[in-house]
Amino acid sequence: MTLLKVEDLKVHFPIRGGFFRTVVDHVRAVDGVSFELEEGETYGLVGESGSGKSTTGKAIVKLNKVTSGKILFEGQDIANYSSRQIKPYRRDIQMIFQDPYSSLNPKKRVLDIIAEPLRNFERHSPGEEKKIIQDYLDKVGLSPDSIYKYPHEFSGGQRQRIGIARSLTLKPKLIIADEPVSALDVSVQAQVLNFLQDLQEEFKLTYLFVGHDLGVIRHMCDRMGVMYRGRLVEEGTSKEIYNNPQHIYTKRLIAAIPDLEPSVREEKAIARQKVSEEYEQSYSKYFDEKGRAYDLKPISTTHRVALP
Amino acid sequence: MGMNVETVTTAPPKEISPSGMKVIWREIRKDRMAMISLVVLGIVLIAVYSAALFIDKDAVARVDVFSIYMDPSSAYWLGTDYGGRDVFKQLIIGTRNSFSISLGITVLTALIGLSAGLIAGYFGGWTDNIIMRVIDFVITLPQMMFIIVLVTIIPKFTVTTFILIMTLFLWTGKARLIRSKVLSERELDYVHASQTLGTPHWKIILYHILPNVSSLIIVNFTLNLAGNIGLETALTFLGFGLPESTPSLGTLIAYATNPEVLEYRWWIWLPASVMILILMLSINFIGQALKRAGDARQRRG
Repeated sequence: MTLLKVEDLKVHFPIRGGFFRTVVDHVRAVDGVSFELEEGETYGLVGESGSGKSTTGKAIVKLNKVTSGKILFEGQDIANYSSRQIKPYRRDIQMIFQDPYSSLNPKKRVLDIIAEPLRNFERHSPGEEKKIIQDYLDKVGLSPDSIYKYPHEFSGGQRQRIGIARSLTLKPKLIIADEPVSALDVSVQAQVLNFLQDLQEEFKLTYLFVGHDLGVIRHMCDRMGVMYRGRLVEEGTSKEIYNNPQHIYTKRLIAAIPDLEPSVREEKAIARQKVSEEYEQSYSKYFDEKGRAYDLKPISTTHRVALP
Repeated sequence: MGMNVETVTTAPPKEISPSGMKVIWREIRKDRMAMISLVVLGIVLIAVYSAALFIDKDAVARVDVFSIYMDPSSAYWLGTDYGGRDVFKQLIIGTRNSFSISLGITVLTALIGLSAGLIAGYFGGWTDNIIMRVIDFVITLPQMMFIIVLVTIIPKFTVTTFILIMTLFLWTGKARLIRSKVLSERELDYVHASQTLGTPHWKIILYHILPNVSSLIIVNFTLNLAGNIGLETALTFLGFGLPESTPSLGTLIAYATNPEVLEYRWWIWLPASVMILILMLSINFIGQALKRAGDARQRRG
C-alpha cells in the first residue's frame, strides 16, 4: 500500500533584488520531484550538498513552504494544508534531525524533551507520562534514570537517541530521517543505524532516509532516489542503483565510494578515472540546454533514469 | 545535581535558568565587587523602603517658614532646604521614588520590548517588517523634545506618568536586541523539531525560545536599571522631571543650581549625589557579574 506519494514537488525560494526588493529570480531547491513510499519500506534520498534532498524532507513535514506539487499522505494531499489542518498529520509524520547538538533544547530536561509531543496530543497524568518516557528511553538504550538530566550531559550518540525517542512517542507511521547519523562517529553510526532497523520491525515504521553517505544508504534502504540540483536523476532498488547505474551522475557517485581492499585499489582508480572522463565528455548529453535533468523514464519496472 | 567543572566548560555558552541560578550565584560570590555591591544595594534598598513607610509624605513636602536653611542637627539630620523641609526625609523618599521609577521603566520596557522582539523575530516576514518600521519611527522622534512637551502639558505629573512617558521611548532598544537574538535562535533545529511535533507557536515562543534568550534579558535588565536611575535624575535636574512636591534624587540635586547652596550647604545635594553613585555603581557591578555568568568563556567561578 502506498503510504506517501510525492508528485512533482517544487520548492522555490525567491531571490529579492533591485530597488524595491522585488523577486528577481528563484532558487529552485526542489524542482519537480516525484516518488512513492510503500508502507514498511525504507526509501533513501542521496545527493551532494545543496541537491535539495533535505529540503524535500523538510517540505514533507511542512518546515518549508511547498511552491507547487502534491504530497499525498494516505491519499490526502497535505501540501497546502494550514497549520491547523496539518496538526492531526503531525502525529503520523515525524522527523529525526541531523544535528543532535542543536535539535534538543539545551534548557530542557530529557523528560520534558521527550514528553513534548505527548503533551501536545495526549492527556496523561505525570506518573503515567514518566512511565511512558522511561519505557521509550529503555527502548533506545538509555538509562531510565536519565530523565532529569539536561542534553549537555550526554554524548552525541546518546543525544541522537533522545531525538529518536522523541520522534517515536506518538507512534508515527512515517519517519523522515534527515542525515540522522552524519554528525556521529563511525562506531556510533552503526549502532544507531541497526537500532533504527530494529525499531522499524517493532513499530512497522516507514523511513524516508535522507543522506549523502552511500554506504549508510545501501545498508539501510530498499529503494533509493539520486538527486542532483533539485531533480531526481535516477531511481530504483538499491541493488539496481549500485550495480547498474545508468545516469552519469549516479555513475560518478558510485565510483566515488572508497574501497577498503588494497589489492583492488589500482583497478578502482582506473575505473574512477574512466568514469570521470566519461562524465566530462558526455555531461551535456544527460542535461538539457538549461542544465536541468530530464524527466525520469522507466528502463525496467522498478528502475527509472533521467534520460533524454 | 553534581555538575563538575568539565561538564560546565563543554556546555553550550548560554546557560542561565534553571540550573543557571547556581551559576549566577557562584559568579557573584567569586567577584568580590559584585558581592559587596549586592550587600550594599540590599541594605540601602531595605533601609530606604522600610523607612519610607514611617515617613509622612505630606509632612515632608510641607513648607515650614520657621526652619528655612537650617544646618544639620539632631532634629534635622541633614538640615533643611529653602522651604524648611527636612532634607534627610526627602533623601529617603527621593531614593525610593528614584529607584521605583527606574524599576518601573525597566520592567515596562522589558515587557513591551520582549513581546515585540519575540514576535518580530519568531514570525519574521510581514510581522517583523511592521514591528521594525514602528520601532524605526519611534527612534527617529526627537525624544527630549517630546518628553519636555509632555511634561509641560500633563496637568498632574506623578511618578506613574513619568514612568509611562519614558517607557514610550525606551522599549525600542530592547525590542531590537531581543529580536536579533531570536532571529538566530529560531533557525536552530530544536525550534524546527518543536514545530514538527505539533507544538503551537505561542508555546514555542514562551517555553522554548524565551528560556534560551533569558541570559541576555537578565543582563540587559540589570544594566538598564542602573542607567534609568541616572535618566530620571538628569531630567529632574534640568527641571523637566518630577515637581518638588514629589521628592526624588533629582530634585535634591537640583537645589545645587543655587550657587549659595552649592558652595555653603553641601549637605543638601551631596548625600543625594553619593546615593546615585552608590546605586548605579553597585547595580552595574552586579550586572557585570551576571554578564560573565551568561557567557561560559568569561566566567570566573
